[in-house]
Amino acid sequence: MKTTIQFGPQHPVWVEPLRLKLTMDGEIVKDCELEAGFCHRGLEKKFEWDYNKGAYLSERICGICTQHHSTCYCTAVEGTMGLEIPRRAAVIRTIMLELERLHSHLLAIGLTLESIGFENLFMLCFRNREIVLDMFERTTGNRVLHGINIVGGVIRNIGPEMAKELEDFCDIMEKRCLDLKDMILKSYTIRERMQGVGVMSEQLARDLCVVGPVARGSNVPYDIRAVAPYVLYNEIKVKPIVETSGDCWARSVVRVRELFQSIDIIRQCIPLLADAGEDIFAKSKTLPEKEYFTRVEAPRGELFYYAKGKKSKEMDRIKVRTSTYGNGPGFVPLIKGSHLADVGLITITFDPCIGCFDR
Amino acid sequence: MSLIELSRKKSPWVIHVGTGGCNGCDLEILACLTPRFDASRFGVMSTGNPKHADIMLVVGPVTLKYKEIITNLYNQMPDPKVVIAVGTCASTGGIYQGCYGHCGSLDKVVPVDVYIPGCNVRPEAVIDGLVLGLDILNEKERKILEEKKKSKGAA
Amino acid sequence: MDVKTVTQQEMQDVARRLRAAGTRLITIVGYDSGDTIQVSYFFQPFPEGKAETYRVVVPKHGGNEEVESITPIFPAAYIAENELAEMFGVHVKGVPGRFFLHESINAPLRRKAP
Repeated sequence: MKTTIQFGPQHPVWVEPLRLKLTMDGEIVKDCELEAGFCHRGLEKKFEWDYNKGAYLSERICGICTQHHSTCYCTAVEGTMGLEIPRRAAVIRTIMLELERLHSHLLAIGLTLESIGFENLFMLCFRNREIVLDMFERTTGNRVLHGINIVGGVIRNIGPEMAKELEDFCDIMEKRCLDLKDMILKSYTIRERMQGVGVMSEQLARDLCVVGPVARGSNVPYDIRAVAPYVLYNEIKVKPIVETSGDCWARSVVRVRELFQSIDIIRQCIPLLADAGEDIFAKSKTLPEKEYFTRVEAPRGELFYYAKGKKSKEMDRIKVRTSTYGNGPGFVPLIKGSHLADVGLITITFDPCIGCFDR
Repeated sequence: MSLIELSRKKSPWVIHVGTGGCNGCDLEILACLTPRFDASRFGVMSTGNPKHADIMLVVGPVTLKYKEIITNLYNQMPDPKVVIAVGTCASTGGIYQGCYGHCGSLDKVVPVDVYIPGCNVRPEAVIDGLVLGLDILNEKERKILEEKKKSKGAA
Repeated sequence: MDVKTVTQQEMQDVARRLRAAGTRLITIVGYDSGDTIQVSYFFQPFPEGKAETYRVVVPKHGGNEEVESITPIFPAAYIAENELAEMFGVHVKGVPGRFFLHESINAPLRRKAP
């Protein structure tokens, strides 16, 4: 007998609305249909706006990777008018990007654990995440939407005292992440639950052009920080972290290992602040007129902005292609043939961000 | 205060509905329920089922596709119920005003009891709003019980 | 940013050649310049290389202009082509053409011809 189950849009596993229409045969999913657009606000139209205000609008596409969105937007607009940002601004942006990756990965790991019923490790992830948010509050003044990127640089400096604080933060965070890593990687229960569930083969990952931890969990070393370096990643070499098995476990392990990579990058950036000059903002003498695109490695994968100016304060066209947009087609083949109980786990290990997906 | 009224007081279950905001407020609601801010001190518990919920926390401007779903969820909640609009975009439309994809603030779709301002809201503000919502919930509860008593007396 | 302008038929050949070389599709960007719709295809050679851009220019004639689909070659293009179809009111062959938008809204990014 065939039954149809509506998975979502309001479902306890996801924070955000997405609908999967599952055709079941007993416990096995036979067919899956993805319906999106519950978050579609129409931001690409709204971006035909004053380019300075656009930086704040781009932050509000997604509250989890705000820094990546606004950095990518600002770099794209700076590209359309040929503006170079000061070195200090680049260092500050890099530190912020990596801090953001820390908190986003902790959130993703926590939600994955919650979806398999491991409530107290979820709480632990969130307790660790609060330290990162405290650091954000100390450096930018806000917990989630930071608002420090503008076209031409940043508006908040990181002074010597704050650099010292960041160093202390790295030590505390590394210790806590080590504890967390031990608890997750050595847990027999978690491994048994996640290994072999939702396997994405390497060929499928290449065919669907998935990005981020989903691709790296399937042995595709695709990381924009290594492939097409931006801000400071020309100097700080990043080696993509790769796992081979391609299941839910591999995707989670990639995220756990990337926590340490991020802490390492922040550590490398802090000494660069000392001899980076005092300027944090470069004023533009021209208006955006050319077309330009930039890419940034957001916590969920490659983030792409295309900008086109028309020699006025308003932009002509901004196209946002987010990481969940790239990973979206990957849900369907993985869910087909899996058990109903695994659907939530498989989708949550993709770390779906529907605010990004629909814009 | 009757025994039933006393027993139902101060243990609201909340349902969290994200309708198309930027996730920032969703995260702060999650932060509220986790160790640092811990809204469980007030008996608040998160549930995924609208039929068990007393308070609906709505985040974000209501998008056109989500409009009927949110009325559906609202109708499924048992009385007494309280709706809290979390964040500027749920209250007024915020930065998304003028976008074609949504129908503006939440109060155009369902009646709202508490507005929590802020883009994005701070967890302290969410807790403050929840406590306000708790009073309104108790008030509504009392009214319903009184009406029941009256109708019983009349019969 | 260098852009190679090609015709729709050439684009199919380009897509096939890039697919065979293991190139990744980044995305498809549409742009309405008033009297034409420009469709830009962004590719990233993998594991290394510079991103490549190809552009197809479709003259506008009042709606439902036809664009050849590359979804059969690149499965990753499915969402992007749907979005292109619904945002600009063009017809991309072989995709349903409605993914994000509510039924009441039609082609929000399409501009009036000057």
